[in-house]
Amino acid sequence: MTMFNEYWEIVRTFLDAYGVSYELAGLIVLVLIWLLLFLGRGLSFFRFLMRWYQRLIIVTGLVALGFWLFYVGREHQILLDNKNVNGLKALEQVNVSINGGESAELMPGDRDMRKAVGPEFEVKAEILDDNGEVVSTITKTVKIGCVKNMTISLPALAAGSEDFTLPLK
Amino acid sequence: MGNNPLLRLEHIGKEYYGNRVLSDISFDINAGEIIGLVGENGAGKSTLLNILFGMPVIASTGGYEGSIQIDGRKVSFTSPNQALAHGIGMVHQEFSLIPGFTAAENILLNREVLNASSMRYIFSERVSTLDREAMNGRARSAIHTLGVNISPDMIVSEMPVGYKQFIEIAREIDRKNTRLLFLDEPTAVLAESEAEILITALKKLAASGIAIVFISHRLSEVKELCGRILVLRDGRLITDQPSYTLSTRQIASLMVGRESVRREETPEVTETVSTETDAPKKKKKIRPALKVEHLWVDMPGETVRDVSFEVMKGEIFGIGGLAGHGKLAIPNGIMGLYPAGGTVKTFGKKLTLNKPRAALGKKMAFVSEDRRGVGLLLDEPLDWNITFTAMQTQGRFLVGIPYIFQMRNDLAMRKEARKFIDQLSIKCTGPSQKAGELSGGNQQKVCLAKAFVLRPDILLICEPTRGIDIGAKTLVLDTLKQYNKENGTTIIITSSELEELRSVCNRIAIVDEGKIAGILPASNPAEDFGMLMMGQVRNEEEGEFSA
Amino acid sequence: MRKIFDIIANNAVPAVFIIISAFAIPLSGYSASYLVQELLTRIGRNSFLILSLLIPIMAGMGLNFGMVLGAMAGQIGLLFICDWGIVGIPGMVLACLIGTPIAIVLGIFCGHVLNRAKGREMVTSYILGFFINGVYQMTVLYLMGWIIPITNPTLLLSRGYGVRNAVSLLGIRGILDNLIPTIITGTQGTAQFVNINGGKSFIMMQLPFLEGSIRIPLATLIVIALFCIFIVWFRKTKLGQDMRAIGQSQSVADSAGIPVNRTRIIAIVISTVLACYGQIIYLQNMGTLNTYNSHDQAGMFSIAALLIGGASVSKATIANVFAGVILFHLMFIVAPVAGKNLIGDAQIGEYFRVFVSYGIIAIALVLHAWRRNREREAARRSLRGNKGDE
Repeated sequence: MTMFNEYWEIVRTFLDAYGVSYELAGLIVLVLIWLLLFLGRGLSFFRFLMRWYQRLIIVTGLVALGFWLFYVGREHQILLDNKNVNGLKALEQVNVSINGGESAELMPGDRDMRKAVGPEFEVKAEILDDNGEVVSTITKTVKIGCVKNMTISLPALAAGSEDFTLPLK
Repeated sequence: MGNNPLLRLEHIGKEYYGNRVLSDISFDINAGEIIGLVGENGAGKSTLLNILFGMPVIASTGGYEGSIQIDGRKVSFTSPNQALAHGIGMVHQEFSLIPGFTAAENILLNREVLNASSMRYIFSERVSTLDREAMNGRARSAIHTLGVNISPDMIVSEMPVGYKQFIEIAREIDRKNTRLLFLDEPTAVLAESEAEILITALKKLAASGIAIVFISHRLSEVKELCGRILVLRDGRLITDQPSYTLSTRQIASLMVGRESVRREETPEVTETVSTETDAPKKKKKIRPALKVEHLWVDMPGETVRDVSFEVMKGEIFGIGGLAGHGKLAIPNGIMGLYPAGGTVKTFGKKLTLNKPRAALGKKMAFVSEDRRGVGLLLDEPLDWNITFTAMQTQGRFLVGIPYIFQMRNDLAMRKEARKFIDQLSIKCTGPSQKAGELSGGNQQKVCLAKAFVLRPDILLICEPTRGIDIGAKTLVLDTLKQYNKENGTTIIITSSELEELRSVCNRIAIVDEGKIAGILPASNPAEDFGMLMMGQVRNEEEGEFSA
Repeated sequence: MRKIFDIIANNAVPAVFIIISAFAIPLSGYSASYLVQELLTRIGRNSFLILSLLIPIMAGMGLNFGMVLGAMAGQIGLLFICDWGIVGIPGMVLACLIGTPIAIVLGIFCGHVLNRAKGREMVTSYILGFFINGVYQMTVLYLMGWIIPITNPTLLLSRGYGVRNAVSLLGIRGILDNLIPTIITGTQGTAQFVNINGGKSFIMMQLPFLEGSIRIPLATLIVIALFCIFIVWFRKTKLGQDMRAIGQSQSVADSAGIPVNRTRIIAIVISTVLACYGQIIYLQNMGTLNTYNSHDQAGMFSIAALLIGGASVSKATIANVFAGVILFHLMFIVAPVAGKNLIGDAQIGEYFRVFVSYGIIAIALVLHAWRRNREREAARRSLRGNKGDE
């Protein structure tokens, strides 16, 4: 059931993103079903049923595969933000890398951008003090889903808050 | 069930646009019977087959009369596939085989043995792979039934012609439900030994319970193979009797149909006989007007392979034979309209083949069977049509200085046209009417006029009466006879209507399968010609024919 | 004598190319490993497109110039994944998934049109390509970003609708080629390659006599091999058998109850869909999409390559495809440099490549017509009997 929910989530994000109403989507599904019935005309009942059934599975499978690919293949822009926010002070220096990629060095007030592919990514932040010594390292797995852009507030992340994506709630 | 014949036809009739081609055909076919169906071209055989196979052409021209019953149940086919489903198979005259496929692939064309495929429901059965082994096995057994030894792996295009015929028949045999098999001229392309094998095979097939209808022009084969013979003539079933009661000669005369009595009825024929008796005398004095030796002509659908004959000066010579056997190719080849070879001599001088101008230059004129295509310029006035060839090849109807500046002499052209319009009584508004507006008979007369203007020594005419009504027919033929009498022109007429040839010609050559089967005086009885047309070997009655 | 002549006539085109290449390769001065590397890249890039031509040839529909329809469908798929930002293998597969229905619809349309133009399929599909190109351009230039939702500003023209001329496919660039990194190297080449590949693991083979190293687009080649297996399998199916039958004689196939028109449409649909995938693989290798030109040359160059491989309008095999890719592209690689070394002008090679590809198509079409006439003549000569030989 969770898998179904996850899929429904993806489909909904997709539909919402393009402003397609659920009624229209339902209509399209009905048209597809009708098309399958139409293609199966003139066959014996068993063969007709088998064809209808197997084709339905195939088409559904392909559409599902499409959504899944959309889900796992989506590239996101992750904005890294090192500014004062909600009373949290910007960090002196922080080195951030996404999914083990090239790290970004951010001074107070800096912003940088990294890319991540897939529904979740791992962010690793090394927080440095004035002397350039590593004070602490934070590693966090972030679920992003199908959203295109995300801004991470590094001070919030460093503070250990769960709510570190800008705008903060 | 047992009492019902396999196929029963009751009062079958058919009209094409008011033209009756079949009337009141009734006969039965029982399982295991072999029936010979014979008849001249146009006797209605193909129409009968079209009705039986539910060809779309029948329905689109208003259906047919009477009823067809299979196993006592009435059927009416609207497509050939329905006939196939009822177990009626057909082997066509022209091969319907795929040249690049093997024997097995052809025998099982569209009935291939398939391996079951897991995807057959998603797409269709067509994504299943072929089971080659099983296919070869089935093909082998079908070929074996015929008593020949052909490998199922042999490519059809590499086979001798005879094999192809066997493959076609094997295909019908392989169809599990085939109970009635129609064979349209299956032996036409076979060598004698192959034909014998086929006949043996067919007898074996019939013994296994399949009824066979054998359509052929080779009467001796029909007589040897078939238990019963049906003769069609002019759309009627003339006779339906066991073959042992008929001789091939009787069959031929039944097909041609005009009893010898008819000859006395027509005075023209006796008249020509008297002129004909002069011809042999002249032969000694004069060189022949046209001498043809080993002529071959490559005319699609009418190929002739080896033709030799002589035509005397002043003679009317007829060329007859069945459609598709090559009679039309002879005049077309002599005139250079189709690739040809061999030697043709006019008045002892050799004629250059493959060049229409060379033939026209020898004072030969040609009236094509294709009136509207080759014969006439349909959108041009009559005077143009009549004088055009003469203007082009003989430089007549022109004024001015030759080779430098010449123009049409319209006045002379119109005068000439008017002369012929009167002479041939062409029905038209005048020389300026367009040729396309005339009726068929009058167009034919224009074609004749066009040939006459050339003042030819030799006139070749193809199908002079095709597609024109009876009144016009006699007029055209009379014109020809008269022209021959007045000018002593040698005329060669090619026609598929034997009676017409017999009424005008002195001698008639019959072309059969691309060769001259025999040349007979027109006075011979019709069945003699019929025998020649049906490919009756000459040596049977050699003495009689070598007149 | 006639047989020898036939053999030469049937293989004239590949023979000429082999001879020209034999002269041009030493002139160009390229090393063997460079040539092999280039050829492997081009085999990976182009074979799939060329293979998509085989099925219509089998069905007797000649060279499917209409494959550009499939190429356009593939490009539309690519535009969508660029807009959505789907990258990597998922991006490629999704582009194929989106392109497929478009290619099917276009293929059905093309098939119906070609069924109305039997015997003139090639010229019809060629012109149809231009027509659909117009529709494609309208879609991409006016509808995308206006009716069809395209939101990514890097794709759109500054006016707000219409796609830019050059679209970067950075997200899927070389993704299939490098999916299974493979290298063949001589004794020295390894270290160099490790640097290029950023230290990731890869399959390596050593051939001691080789100078330098060759990267093999292994995954692409596997996909192509699978496709070849598909074609071999397809020939064995009932559908393939029906297509062969139709290819040889439509009337006979029809009288045997094979649905001729439907089968022809299926052949074109398969070809169009495969051309769609072929174009995606091609652009994956190129890395940039010229929105308005990329598909233009796809058909022409694929057809030229196939013909150079020794195929004809009525017969083509998988071997022809690979022979064609190798010969045609060998020429492409060496001709400019050979031309430069010989005459001092690289343009001559470029000129030669265009001249050759169009010239070869023209020659192949003329040869086809000539051969067909000769066969017909031979068939009729046999009817004349013995007297015909005089």
